[in-house]
Amino acid sequence: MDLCVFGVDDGYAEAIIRGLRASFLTEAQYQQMKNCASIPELKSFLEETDYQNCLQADNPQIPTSILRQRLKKKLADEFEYIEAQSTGTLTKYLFHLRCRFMIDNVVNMIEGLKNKIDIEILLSNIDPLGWFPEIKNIKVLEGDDYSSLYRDVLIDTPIGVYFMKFLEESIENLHENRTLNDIQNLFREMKPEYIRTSLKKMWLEDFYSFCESELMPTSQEALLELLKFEADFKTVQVIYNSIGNRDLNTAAKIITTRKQLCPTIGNLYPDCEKVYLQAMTLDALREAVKGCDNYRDLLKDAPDPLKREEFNVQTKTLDDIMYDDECRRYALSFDGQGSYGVFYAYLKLKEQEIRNIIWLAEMISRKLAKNHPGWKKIIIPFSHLGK
Amino acid sequence: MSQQIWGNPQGWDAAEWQSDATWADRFMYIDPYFWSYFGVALALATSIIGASWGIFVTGVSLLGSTVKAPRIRSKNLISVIFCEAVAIYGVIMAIIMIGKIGPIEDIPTDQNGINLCYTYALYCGYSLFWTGVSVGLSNLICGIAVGVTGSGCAISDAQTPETFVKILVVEIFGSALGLFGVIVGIIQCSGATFPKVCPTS
Repeated sequence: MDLCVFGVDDGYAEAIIRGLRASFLTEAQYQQMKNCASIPELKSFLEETDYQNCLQADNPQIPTSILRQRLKKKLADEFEYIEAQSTGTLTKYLFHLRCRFMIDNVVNMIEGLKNKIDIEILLSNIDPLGWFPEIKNIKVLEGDDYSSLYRDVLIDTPIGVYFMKFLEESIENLHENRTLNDIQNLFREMKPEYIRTSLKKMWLEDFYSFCESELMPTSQEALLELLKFEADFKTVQVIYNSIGNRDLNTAAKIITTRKQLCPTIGNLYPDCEKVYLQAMTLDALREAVKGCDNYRDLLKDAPDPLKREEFNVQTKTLDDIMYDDECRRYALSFDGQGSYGVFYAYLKLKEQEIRNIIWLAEMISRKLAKNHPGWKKIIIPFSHLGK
Repeated sequence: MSQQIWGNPQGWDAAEWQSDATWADRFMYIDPYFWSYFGVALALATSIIGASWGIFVTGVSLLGSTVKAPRIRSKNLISVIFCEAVAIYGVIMAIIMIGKIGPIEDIPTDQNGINLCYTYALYCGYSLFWTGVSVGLSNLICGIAVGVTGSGCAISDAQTPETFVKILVVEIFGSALGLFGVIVGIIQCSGATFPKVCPTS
């Protein structure tokens, strides 16, 4: 029944996404981009595609970081338009999607402030998709009092609830007779990647429960599958990265870190949880995921993390394999009507496209030979459909 | 009360009507004109509900996809026309049905004649009512079907231009459903004209 009434509130927004889907770059266009000899040529090529308006004001020799900002700003503007045309549940849903980018922005700003980078530079580098009005208030950092920063400033932000949960969890993990100094040291030494992964894990779980409770069955069908796959992707990544990691030297430490960073949703949780928490080699990890045959096939070709030093540009890392599979799934979600999955898929695939363009811009600016294996490292959205 | 037009077959007085009449009797004495006009309203109104539902579902998707893909504008108006056709079916049936309703000029005086006349009038009334239901409901569902398919047509045309004609075929099959309703409806109400003069035997 939801197909009959979907058009009432959300039909317009979905139809705009369908029109935007035609603006993705095709394989032929990627081929032409690869043949560009210099950045100005790439820029003039991009001006003939859907990106024309956002690059007109810059000079031809555009630096890669500015190029990335412009492309992301275009995506952010489109997304803002769609969010403005939406009502009710869809607006909440789209806002939730943007929280992921807000997490990235806030963690980057905190790290930048720790390293005493100027606030203006930090503000100009934030991801425009994750902009929110309170982001300018994060500059107050008296001395080294990070915990008060977390408590006072971030509590007003839309992602404040994730930070609160994160703080509570980290404080819990300290031993019994903890002092204020211990807490301060904890935050000063905590790695930004760790904070980022924890927060994103909390965001994913929150998003999953939002989808389960508030969306219609057609949307749930598509979205819950995508989110479960993303959670499994994160789980496998966490375990893979923690095998042979230099910073985690004891088994107990490995297991606690894994338990903190692996999401509690997805196909692998809770059935395979005991097994994958203990996995200390790649083969053990393959054993742990062998129940789900998608992941078994994916991990078949993954390189061994214990031999991490031997990786070079040519190896297909686990990240590459998983991005490939992810893109295929997102492209497939465009095949259904009346579901919110298309908004999520559009965001992810457009991000992948921007990554591709920036990668190619880097390759071009370094003037690498055309048979360098790095040229093949891009993953083209919708290429799996044979279009 | 229709009793006054049609006479008093059982010879009841008011008190007896209140105590001795069963529900079946009361149901039977609902005026045939009530049934027939209700049928007309059903045929018209539910067809139009279906058609308008279809148009709003299609129109929304059409508007949204035209923002980024203006080439689909003119072709996809066909979906809206198919939905409109469903409403036209409803109007045609309603006009045909109204043509069959008319006052009875000459009601006979003896009780037998009245009963015969009443039975014939009831037949016309029921026939028109259920014609209205069959035409109306089938057009309602047909309109929704064509509308949802039409919105899918607009969206997929914006994504991949080759799919337009193929999805249009699905829509054509969908609009055939409304036609089935109209055909059956016309046969159903074909003999149901209210008589000008009552049949005598």
